Amino acid sequence: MDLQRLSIKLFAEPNYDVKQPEFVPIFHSWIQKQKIKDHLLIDVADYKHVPEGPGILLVAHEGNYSTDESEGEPGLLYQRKRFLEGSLTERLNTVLKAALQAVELLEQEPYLKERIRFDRNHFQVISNDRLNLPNTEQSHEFMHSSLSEAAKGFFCHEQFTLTRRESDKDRYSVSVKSSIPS
Amino acid sequence: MKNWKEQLSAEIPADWGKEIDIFETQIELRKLGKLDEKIFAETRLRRGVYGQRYDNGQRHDGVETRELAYPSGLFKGPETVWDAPGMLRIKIPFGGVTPDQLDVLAEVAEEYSNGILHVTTRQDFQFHYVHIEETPDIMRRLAAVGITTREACGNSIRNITACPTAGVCSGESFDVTPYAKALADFLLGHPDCQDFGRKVKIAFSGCQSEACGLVMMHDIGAIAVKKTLKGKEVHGFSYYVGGGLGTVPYQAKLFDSFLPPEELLPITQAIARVFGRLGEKRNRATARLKFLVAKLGIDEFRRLVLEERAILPEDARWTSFLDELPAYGETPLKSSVELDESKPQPEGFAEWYHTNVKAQKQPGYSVATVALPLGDLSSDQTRKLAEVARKYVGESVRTTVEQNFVLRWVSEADLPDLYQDLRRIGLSDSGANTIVDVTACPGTDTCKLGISSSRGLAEELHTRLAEKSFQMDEAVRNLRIKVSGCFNSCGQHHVADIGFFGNSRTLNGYKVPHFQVVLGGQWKENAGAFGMPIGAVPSKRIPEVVNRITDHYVLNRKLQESFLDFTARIGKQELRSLIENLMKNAPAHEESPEFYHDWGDTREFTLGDRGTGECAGEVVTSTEFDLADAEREVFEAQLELEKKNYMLADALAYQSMLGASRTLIKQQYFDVPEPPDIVVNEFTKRFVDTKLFFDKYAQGKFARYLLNRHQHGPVPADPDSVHQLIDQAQLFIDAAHACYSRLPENTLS
Repeated sequence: MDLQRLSIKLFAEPNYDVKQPEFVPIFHSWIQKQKIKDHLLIDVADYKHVPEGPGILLVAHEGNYSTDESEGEPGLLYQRKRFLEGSLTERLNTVLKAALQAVELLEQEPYLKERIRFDRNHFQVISNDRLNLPNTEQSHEFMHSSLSEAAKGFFCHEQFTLTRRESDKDRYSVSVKSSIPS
Repeated sequence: MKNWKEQLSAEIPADWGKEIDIFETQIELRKLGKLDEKIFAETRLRRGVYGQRYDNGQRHDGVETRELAYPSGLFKGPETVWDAPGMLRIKIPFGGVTPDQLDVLAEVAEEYSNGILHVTTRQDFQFHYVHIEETPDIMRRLAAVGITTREACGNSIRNITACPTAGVCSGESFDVTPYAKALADFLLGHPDCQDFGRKVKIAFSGCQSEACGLVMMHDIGAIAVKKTLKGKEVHGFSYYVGGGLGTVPYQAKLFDSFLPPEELLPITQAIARVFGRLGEKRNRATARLKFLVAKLGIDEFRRLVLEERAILPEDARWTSFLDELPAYGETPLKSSVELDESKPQPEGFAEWYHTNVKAQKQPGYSVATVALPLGDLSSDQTRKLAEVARKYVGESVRTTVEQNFVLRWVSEADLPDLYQDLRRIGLSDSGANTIVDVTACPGTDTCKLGISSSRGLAEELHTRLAEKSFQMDEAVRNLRIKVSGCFNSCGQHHVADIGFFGNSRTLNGYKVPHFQVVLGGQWKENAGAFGMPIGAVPSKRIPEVVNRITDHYVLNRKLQESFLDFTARIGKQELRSLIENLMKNAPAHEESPEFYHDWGDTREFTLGDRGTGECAGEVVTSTEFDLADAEREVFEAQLELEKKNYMLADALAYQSMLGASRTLIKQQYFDVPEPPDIVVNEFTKRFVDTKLFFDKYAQGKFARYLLNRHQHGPVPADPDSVHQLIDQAQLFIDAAHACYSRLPENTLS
């Protein structure tokens, strides 16, 4: 299956202390310096007025980054828009790498230092393709091995859980959690 | 891999499916270079596929204008890069949307856009940051639930709007919904509507006095009226043509005071034919129907339309919908039960009930407004709103031109529970239909034409006004604020009590985002009067403008005096004096750099790197003084208009344009003489023929305002004509400011 539109969310740690407007100048500065590798950074859009919405959006040609607050869980969402190459595992690795790149940049931002950290023991994979990957157990079985491979590479061990979100109106979405605290 | 085309083929109406297939083929042809980019641009626009800011492949990043190196090297229109994110507009006739449609809209926003649905000021939805190659699948998914994007943009019949309370409003003559639907169905893709020079917007209203339909600012508008014939009540429409906002607004003219329902479709078809045949095609600036009606005069226009109507081939659809009218109606999901006011209510309910709930004409039912900040809601909220609708009202959901939703047929006893459910999904904001509920077009956030951040300003005003809404005077609370990011009026600033439209000025050697303050508009009476600008104020000082104007109103109004009457009574001179000091005296850039940024944007506003010397903070050039003089003259023209001195107002407006153009000419020819013929000749030679005066998107439109007035002499001495000339003069001066800021430093010859 040629799955393309994959997303990754990395969650902020509980002591997170950054207000959404603070991301605006940071993302503008990233555009000035084109700081994310393999991405053409284009613009910043402000959706902080939408409760549990995308927050501040950094628009890139290849995929959008947003300081997502859906379900009350702040984090950094990377939503791939353009073509991904390779096997499914390789594609998952590509989007994970793209998301990780952004959270590392945020953690290194001098202005935000000490006020934001992202949990490296937990990430969420979302497929933006309800047609080819509906939110079913069958889809989960199909994804299981590629997800496990990608998770193994991310956590550097094999002790993790893959939990599918149940609601049939949601996109296929899996919470990937390490069982070993870092 | 499955694809949506095969998956949904049985669910999409055949003609809609074919249209989408054709568009998909056109995308491929364009990619192969086998379809001209201009033709493709209009093709995609007629499918609702619109451009978005920075799609010319350039963006000022706060330091300099940089190229955005998109990979494909293709173009989807002139200066429009293929890969650049775009906007998709989705037509929602009369704003009617079902929970099942909301579910699909939510899914599509999530999968192809940014998870946000944006409600527009014409009851449409817009998705932003969409890639053109994904639009056919989006269209298919929407088509499968009865939604089309066809003719949502381009030179076509746009979304047909109607009062969101049609059918449930106690003030209406009758429910206009089935008529709006029949006309929308009839005109969609109609062969007589494919050869326009510009778009046509149509609106329906159930009554004359309220705002909801905004008929008077539409190309074509129909207001429901009843009369008694031979002892029997019959329905018809007060039918208007030739209204429109845009840069210079026109009030619609009465075409027929009682158009029978059986003539609604054929007369509109005849208008489409006349407009297609006689409307301007080459010059977009004068191509709207309003210009044709003004040029021909309403009597001649009517004569031509009736002549066309007489020879139209008979079409069964003209009247077939009338047979279904008796059966038309909405069935409430729940029985009507009155609200038990003795019961304790949830926190915040009373305020929400006061501002967001309106009793229906059907006893025991209410309309509840779901207020959306900036017209936005997330996919997740949309799905949950669909669930709320299913629980309380079934299919009775509509979007509004104030960028909100309304839930109709809410049993009054359910209101507290509905409020609680909306609160759980972040959609229980009170203040709907008040000054807090600020409307704004997308502006610089996503629109290619935006000058100032309308959404940024709207959010700031919303936040500040919401904080003090509890102690706000009721007369102020009921005002409307509307913001457009440029002169094009998508935020409908002309019809607000307090309107703003974006422009810019050069202060201390830097470009500064500004908003023109527009007063005198009337929201009620179907947008019964248009406001006029009284002065341009830096964006960051606009909240203070609102404070001063509203405070002055509260302190000085006569008993029960409306804001419109108040502003008319005290006059523009006094209103301008309230804000005059806000228009001047910019702080030095070094002291307050944020003054030079737009709302919500931390980039330097300046579009070009106009360097500034050490003393720039104190330098005001003679050009800036001269342009300020021109602005003074156009303001004086307004004052004369108020006094009904039409000829003097005309002369002042003309003089202001001459003055502004002479100011520009002096950049190259310092001793230019004053006679108008010489000024206009020199202006034409130096700024029109060279296109130096041209706006990137409006091209030579503003220059023509001066050239036309010079060539044709004074406009007719009537309020509409003079009002329009003054609007044109203000836009000409704004364009002169923009032109001056684009000129190289050393152009004096």
